Amino acid sequence: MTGEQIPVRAQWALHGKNTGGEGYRILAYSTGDLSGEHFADALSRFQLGALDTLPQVSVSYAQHGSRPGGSYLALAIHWFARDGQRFANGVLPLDNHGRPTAFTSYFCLPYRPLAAGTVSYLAMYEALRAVTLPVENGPPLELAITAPATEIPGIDDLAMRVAALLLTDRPVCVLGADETSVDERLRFIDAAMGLLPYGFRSRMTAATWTRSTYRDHRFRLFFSSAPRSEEQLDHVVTWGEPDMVRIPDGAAGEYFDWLIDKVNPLAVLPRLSTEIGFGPKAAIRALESVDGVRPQPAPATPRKADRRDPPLATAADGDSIEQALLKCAAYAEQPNLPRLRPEIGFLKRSADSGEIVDGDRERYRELIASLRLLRPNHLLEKYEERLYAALLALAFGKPLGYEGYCQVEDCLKIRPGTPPHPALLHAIERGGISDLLTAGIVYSHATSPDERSRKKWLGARNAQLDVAAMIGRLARDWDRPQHARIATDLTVDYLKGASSRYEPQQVRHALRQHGFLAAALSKRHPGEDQYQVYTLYQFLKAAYPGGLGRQTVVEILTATPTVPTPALLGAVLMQLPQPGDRRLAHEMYVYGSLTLMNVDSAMAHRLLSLTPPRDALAITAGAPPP
Amino acid sequence: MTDATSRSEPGIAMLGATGSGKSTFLGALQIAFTLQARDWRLWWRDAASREALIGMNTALVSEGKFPLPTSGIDTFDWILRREVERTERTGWFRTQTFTESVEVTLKLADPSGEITGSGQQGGDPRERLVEHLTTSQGILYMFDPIREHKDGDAYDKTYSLVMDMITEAAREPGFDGKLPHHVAICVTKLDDPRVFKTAAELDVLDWDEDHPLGFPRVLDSDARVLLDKLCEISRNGNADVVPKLFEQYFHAGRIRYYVTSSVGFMVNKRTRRLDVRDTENVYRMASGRSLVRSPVHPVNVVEPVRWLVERSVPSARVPLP
Repeated sequence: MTGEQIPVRAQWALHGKNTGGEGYRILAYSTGDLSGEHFADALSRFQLGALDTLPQVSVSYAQHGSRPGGSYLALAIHWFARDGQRFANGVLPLDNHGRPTAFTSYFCLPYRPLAAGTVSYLAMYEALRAVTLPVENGPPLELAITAPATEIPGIDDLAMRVAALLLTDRPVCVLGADETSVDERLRFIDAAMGLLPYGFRSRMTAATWTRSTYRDHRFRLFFSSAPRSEEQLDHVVTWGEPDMVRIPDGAAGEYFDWLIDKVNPLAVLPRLSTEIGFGPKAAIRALESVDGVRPQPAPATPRKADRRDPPLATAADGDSIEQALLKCAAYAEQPNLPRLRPEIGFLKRSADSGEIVDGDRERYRELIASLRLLRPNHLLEKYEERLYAALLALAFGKPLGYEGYCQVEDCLKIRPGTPPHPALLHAIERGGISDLLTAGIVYSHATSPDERSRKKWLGARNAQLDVAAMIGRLARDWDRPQHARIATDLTVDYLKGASSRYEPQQVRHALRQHGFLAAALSKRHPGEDQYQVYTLYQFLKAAYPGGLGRQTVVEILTATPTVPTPALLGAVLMQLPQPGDRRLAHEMYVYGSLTLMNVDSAMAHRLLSLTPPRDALAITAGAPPP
Repeated sequence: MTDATSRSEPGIAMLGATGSGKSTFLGALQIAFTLQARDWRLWWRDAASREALIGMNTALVSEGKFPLPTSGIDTFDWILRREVERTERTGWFRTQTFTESVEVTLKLADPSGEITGSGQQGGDPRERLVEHLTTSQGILYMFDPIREHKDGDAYDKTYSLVMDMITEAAREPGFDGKLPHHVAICVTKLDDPRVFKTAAELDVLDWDEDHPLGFPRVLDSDARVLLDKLCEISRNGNADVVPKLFEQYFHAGRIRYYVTSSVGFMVNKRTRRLDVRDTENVYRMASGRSLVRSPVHPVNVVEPVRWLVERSVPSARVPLP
């Protein structure tokens, strides 16, 4: 569909250096309403800075008094005079110092006919780049500009966000568009402006490129290779990265929500490509189809911070990360995914910055807990895990360590050892885990402790477990005994399934050093005798793969730092087929129980004197003296 | 030995007519510090300043290209840092030596030569330039004698701007009619044979026998003599008023003269030393475009910047032994 031709009268000026001239000046201009002073003033206000790569285009506006029809849209083409690329006759490419001269062809077109035809900047550029200006004053140009065909506004995610940002009265700088063409960038400016009332073009200023060190320019929307200094308070967005753009609260945010609500449903129509036939039910099918993809329920204004909720009230004045957490909570509750996305991006970037200190993390954890940001929320779709990933990295550490995992449990207010919900668990897995203990806990929750999960636990490199170190850790006191149980089970599984990957001698040494874990298991799992016996049996089996000799029985039950437990005796007995050996075990258990008790030295001596000597007991039981 | 870091942000504005070499001077700054003042390190914190420093340095030093003429006002935040060792008395018979890191953020404003002219008064960029100048602590003034010989407009470009600065400063109570800035007036293009010959005739070239390339320099104490001589041959004949203008509206003790060459002298490819018969390190192509001929060895580029920094930030000075 071709747009209509709109006739306009273009006033113009040519800016550059003339032959033999020293400085930049207006070389020629049209003899219309606008004077040379008008042009000089306008051109001095809207410069791009010195650029290596031309042509570039800037758009601005001009006004001539306050009379009706005195408003103009201005478009400037900034160019070097080169063979095959001249927008003016009779100009030289270099100045007196041998430096390239940057010329500007500047055009002012009356606003009203352009607005009536909803003419885009790109359409203006198409018409104006065909013009070759003279180097002498002359009449205005009569041009025909093609109005674009009527079309549904494209759903350019970045343009939609930039449109909202432009309403904050702060300039928007677009980075990362180095590989795009002038036309593409101008089309983007059009796309953003196409999502605002056309009337804003009457005061709009934009440029397809500016020099980053030229800080004082006045463009509201501009492309550059680097941000200006922080003094300019620009919104900085990155080409192709709409998810990184945070939409501010307030009226601009509401406008963005309005755009999402209105533009998304229309723009999504071309993507509904499932074959549908016309007929009596066509309308119903169309509605069903549209309803099926309706991206969001009408987004409401973000929930205001609940003044009764202390953390929210505190964070209202808090740092930008706290503000982002509050917004995440509000947008997750609605849910409003387009608004949630950039907040997640901001949290992720903040986490990756490496600038968050422990004190901050603690505050963020408290806020996350009170906002219940880690709770399951399937309405967030793919953003659910992304949110968790950002929160984990921000407040719990990345990769996640054991301390961080315990904090996650606290934050969720779940009983230690209870699995977090699957989406969070998956986010933890994907985010990386720093130690085998945490990995073990996570993977034991994620899957059954089969071979596959054991391999995942040990990582892609199929790392070898330091069994001795793990036994040492299992012997210690645990704040969360449930975690100790998981670690114990995983260790037992490892020992059962990988007999070729550890040295029984090392296991024996570690077990002896820590009383064969009998006391630790008894303390952590009182009343779970069967579990204790089974576990100790497996450890003994791993440590003594050839079976228990009589001397070993004596060692296990009498030569450890702690009193043997009934479960340990049970585990030993289960490995002794000979009645004489079992009798020995009984004797040694009694001996160990009496002599290893935690009593003072006087009582220890007395008990020892009341007990038959161990050697004698061993001989009585038919064993050689130890 | 203890460590401390002091940080300052003196603004330094550049002034000079179109083509007087302001941007080229900045482009040569990093290589100049690298070659001649290795105790200073020059870098950046923001991406735009990084891009400009690397871009200008690479173009000039590696590709021999001069920077594009500035359009508007380019602003760079470049950081100069050095370690200064100081000794302080801590008791009757005791002293303590400590290392202080001095970090200076140079807020350099490089304006287009066009906006310095009297015809630009009242314009938007001009107002911003006056604001930059007024708020800066130091001014690097570039006086291009070759350009002055041809165009003779240095006074025109400077006078109205100084008057605008006076207008701004006069709003401050207690203003005594003199601007508080330190001003380094740099006579540029010493490598140009006309400037070099004038300096030789005046016998102000100081030959350092130990200089690896055999480069001479004009001592700061002689720079004003050379400037006066060069002003005599100005086209308009009023270039000599420029230094007088500065001396009238700035404190005389805060003005220092330098003779510089951002690209340095041409180094003879065979002898690897300066050949006094072929000093100019700029090659002009048939198209009119200029390129650097031989490697860039800036002359007197570090000195005016260091002087301005040390005057603006006293802690940056190296204490006398």
